[in-house]
Amino acid sequence: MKKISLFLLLVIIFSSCESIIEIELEKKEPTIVVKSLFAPFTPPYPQEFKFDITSSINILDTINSKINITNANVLLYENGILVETVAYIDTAGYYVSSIFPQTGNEYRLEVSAPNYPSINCSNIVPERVIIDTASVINYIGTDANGAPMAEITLSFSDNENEVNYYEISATSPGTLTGYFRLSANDDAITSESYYPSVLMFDRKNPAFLPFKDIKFNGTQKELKIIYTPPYSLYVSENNETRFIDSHLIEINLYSVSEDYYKYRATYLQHINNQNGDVLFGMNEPINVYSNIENGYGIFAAYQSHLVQLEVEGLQFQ
Amino acid sequence: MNKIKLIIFVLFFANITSTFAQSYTISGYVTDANTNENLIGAVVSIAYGKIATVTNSYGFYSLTINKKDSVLINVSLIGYRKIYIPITIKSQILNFELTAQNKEIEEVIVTVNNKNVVNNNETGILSIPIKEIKVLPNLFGEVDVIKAFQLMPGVQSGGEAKSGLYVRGGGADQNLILLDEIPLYYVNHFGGMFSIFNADAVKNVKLIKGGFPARYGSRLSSILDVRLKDGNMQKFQVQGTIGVLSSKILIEGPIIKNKSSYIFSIRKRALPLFSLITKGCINYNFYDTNFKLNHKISDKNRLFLSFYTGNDIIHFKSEIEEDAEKIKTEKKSKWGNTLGALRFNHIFNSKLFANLTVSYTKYNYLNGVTYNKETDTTSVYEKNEVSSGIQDINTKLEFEHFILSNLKFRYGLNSIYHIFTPSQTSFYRESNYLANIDTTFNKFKTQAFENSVFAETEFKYKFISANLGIRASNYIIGNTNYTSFEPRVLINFIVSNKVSFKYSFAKMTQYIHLLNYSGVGLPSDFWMPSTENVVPETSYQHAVNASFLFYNNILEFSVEAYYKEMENLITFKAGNSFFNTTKNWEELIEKNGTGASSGIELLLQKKKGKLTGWVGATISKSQRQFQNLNSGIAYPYSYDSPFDVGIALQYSLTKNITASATWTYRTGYPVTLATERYFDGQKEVFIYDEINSYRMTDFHRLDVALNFKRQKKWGERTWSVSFINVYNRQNPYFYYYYRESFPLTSHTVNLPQESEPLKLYQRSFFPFLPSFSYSFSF
Repeated sequence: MKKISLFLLLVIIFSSCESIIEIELEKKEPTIVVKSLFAPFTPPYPQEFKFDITSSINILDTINSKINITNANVLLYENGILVETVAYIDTAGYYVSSIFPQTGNEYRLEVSAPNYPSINCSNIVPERVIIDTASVINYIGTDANGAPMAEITLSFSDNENEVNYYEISATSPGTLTGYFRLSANDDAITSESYYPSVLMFDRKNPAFLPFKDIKFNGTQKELKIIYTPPYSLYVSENNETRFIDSHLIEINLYSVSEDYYKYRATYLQHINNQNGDVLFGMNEPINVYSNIENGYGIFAAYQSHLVQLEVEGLQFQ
Repeated sequence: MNKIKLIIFVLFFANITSTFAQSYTISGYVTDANTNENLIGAVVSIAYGKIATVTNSYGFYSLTINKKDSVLINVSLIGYRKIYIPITIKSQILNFELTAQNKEIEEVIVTVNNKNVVNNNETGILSIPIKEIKVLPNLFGEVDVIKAFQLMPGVQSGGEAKSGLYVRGGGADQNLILLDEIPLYYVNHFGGMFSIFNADAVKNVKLIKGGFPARYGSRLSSILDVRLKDGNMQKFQVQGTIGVLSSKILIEGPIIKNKSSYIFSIRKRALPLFSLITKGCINYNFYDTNFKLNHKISDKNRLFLSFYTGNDIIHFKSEIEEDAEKIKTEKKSKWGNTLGALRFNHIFNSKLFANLTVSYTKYNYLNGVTYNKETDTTSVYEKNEVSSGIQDINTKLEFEHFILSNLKFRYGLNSIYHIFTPSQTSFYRESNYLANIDTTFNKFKTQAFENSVFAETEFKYKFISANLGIRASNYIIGNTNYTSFEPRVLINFIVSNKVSFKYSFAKMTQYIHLLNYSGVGLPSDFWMPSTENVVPETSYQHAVNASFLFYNNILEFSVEAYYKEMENLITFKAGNSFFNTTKNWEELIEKNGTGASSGIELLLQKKKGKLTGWVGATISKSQRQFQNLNSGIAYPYSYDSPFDVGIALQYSLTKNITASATWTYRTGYPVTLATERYFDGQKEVFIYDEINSYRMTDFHRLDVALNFKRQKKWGERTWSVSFINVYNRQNPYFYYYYRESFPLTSHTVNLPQESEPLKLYQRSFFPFLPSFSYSFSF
């Protein structure tokens, strides 16, 4: 698709010229960028309460890698009380707190560094939502590329007194697959702005599916999520045999703050926009959501509930 | 105060009443002596212009004459020999014929009885004779009426080579484009390079950008009123043009001499340029055709039948064959209009003229992709199509009531039945190893009724002339009903024969909305209805004007200031478009936006003599504001250009050679640019500054043309040579960031350390470009 677009672009303007222009872009002072998605201590994979603090870069600068700010003064507040001056951990490349966030508490971060305007940000840790039931059907058909599709079904109870935000991911520990790319047919997910349409031939499904409870507020919600399980192909003289490998799947249901949801949704849209097409038109530009005052990035809380399931192997055509 | 008003009222009507008692009325048509075409805008006057009227859109006039006044009638129109005819018979019906005048022998005598910028009871109206448009520099030999208006103040093109109309800060959808009174929804060919109007078939064109009379409505920002020729009633005639990009032919002639005629024109792509350049990978084709019949049933009744259809289609094909795998991809974009109309003119008496129009319009847009992958054992064929469209069934009845030479009423009603297909998406798959799919999303049509009534009065009393009116409109969709009352005011204070001051106010309501992409791309217009959630757009425009005649009345100068507010605008939400989505359109848009635009426009025109043309300049500002965009802060409209100049000149070098030149300058259009970036894990995130906070470099371009006309035994031929962008200015078409060895549109890519830095590129469209065309007529 992109090749066609590029080709089209070059050809449709057959008599045109191209020039690198010297446009006077306002030289922006570098700004602090914070990346911290944090959660309370949750076995089996407790997350560190960490803050990736970097610098923004002017668009036309020649620097093409992250600039860590290592000399920042990072103050962490819990419910308005200063609890820690967070230190930079050289070996990790970020700032790590010694405390763990607690459900319902508000955390605020104040960061100052030489030559940067100070920033601050805050977020409240949401309630945890438990997966009530979860199951996997190991084969429901194949996708457009002939790869097998498996279906996860999970259910959870939504709190009706507030707008709740969620996210789903799935991975297979101990394998090289990383996070599975997920798709859904449920309106609660497909109506999200970031969600790639089934009409995109070359779409890449996201590995994380953020969504909100507008369409199922206060109900017991059952969700069906589709992923491509690890599979193998054996070719013999006269035959091709395909197998879904047996695997362990970890399904994570995150209950997330509004800021977390907005960040994830706009981030995915920002990425999707690279599929703009001359024939269909380009999407309007979108900034990734930020809740950092005087800076960029995200400081947002979530909770997660993880369920592990064994998925049996299967021969398929 | 009330007593004064009463006295004025009584005096005014006393004057009218006394005039009634001592007067008689003549009426009829003014036509071209050679073709018998009705002439629009001809001035019929007596008593050295003290009493005058102008022919309407059908060439009809009505003049009430005081018995004491002069009996010498003067009929004039620019480009025609003026005639003086004494009235010997007190006939009710008097038709006049005017003979076209060669420019080089044109008398440079302008008298006050000509329709001019001072005595015109209108403001914000631009009109360019087709003859002048035809000799302006043109692209690939394609003369374009819309491009000529882009050189006028207050009108923006939307980008180099585009035939867009962005009038006084309004959007592309805010123009009511009328072809013989029937609305058209998309009026461009060739990705917007030129308009669908075949200049050979056009009789008259005017653009109204303010001071809207009450008879016009349905759009916020402008009315482009295009009238096609009716067909030569005297003799068979052929005109044609062979150009690089397109060729066209027009045939007209009488069916029954001086009673009925026909006109047929067709224009089609000439050389398959894209196909030749790309070896068949890209193919672009377009055509348009007009057909019109008109028949004089009697002196009082006339019938017109019009038909137009035009389409553009572009194909992109790609084929990749690797090992045993073969992948074919084909993209297609197609859009076009079709309309048919039946109009009936009836003269009830010398003072009352009526027109009934029944018409059908259809606009269709389709964008499709097919994908076909085959291996030795597997095959899959997929098709994805997005389509949109609108159909209108339109009935309009209008009356023109000429009470006195200085008092006229117009009233009428209009009813439109809209059928919308907002955005329908279909997906089809046929495969020997995947599930077959045949599904359509948003497969629904929406119907709506748009009704309106209007009344306007045009009068002149001593040094004041005015056009006052009211338009009431109503829109019904489902259970939702919207009503709007739109007052229209135009007052002209004629200080002297050479100076006048005008004020106008108009409220306009628009019940349909357009969604299109702001970025690069081929046309992609989605017309959407007002609904329960998406309310109609409205605008309020005030304008003041000062007009002057000087240099023996040869030069016309006007300065006009305007202020326009717009409400309930819509646009795409950030990050959204119709690109590959199955969502309902209402989920993709920001609503309840506002807009404001203001400006000062200067226009100097010379309409007579060897050298004719105009110089226009505009200083303006146009903004948009949406609660959820740009942090709710107003931002410059995408086609806001604070300063713009347009010059169009033509000079008759000899009897047969005409030279013309146009020069355009404008401040660069605003763009939204990413100004910073940061890394989020392995991904690079761009940070866009405020919407439209940067401007592309300024645009300026000089085009010149020479037209060589020669009379041959068989008729007349014209060679036209145009030079576009004479000094090869690289004007910006769009900007984009690009990093060597990375995809063109990539915003977030994994970056190895050694990758090249980003650079900002400007894409220009036309370098210096000569073109020529050959036209003939016999």
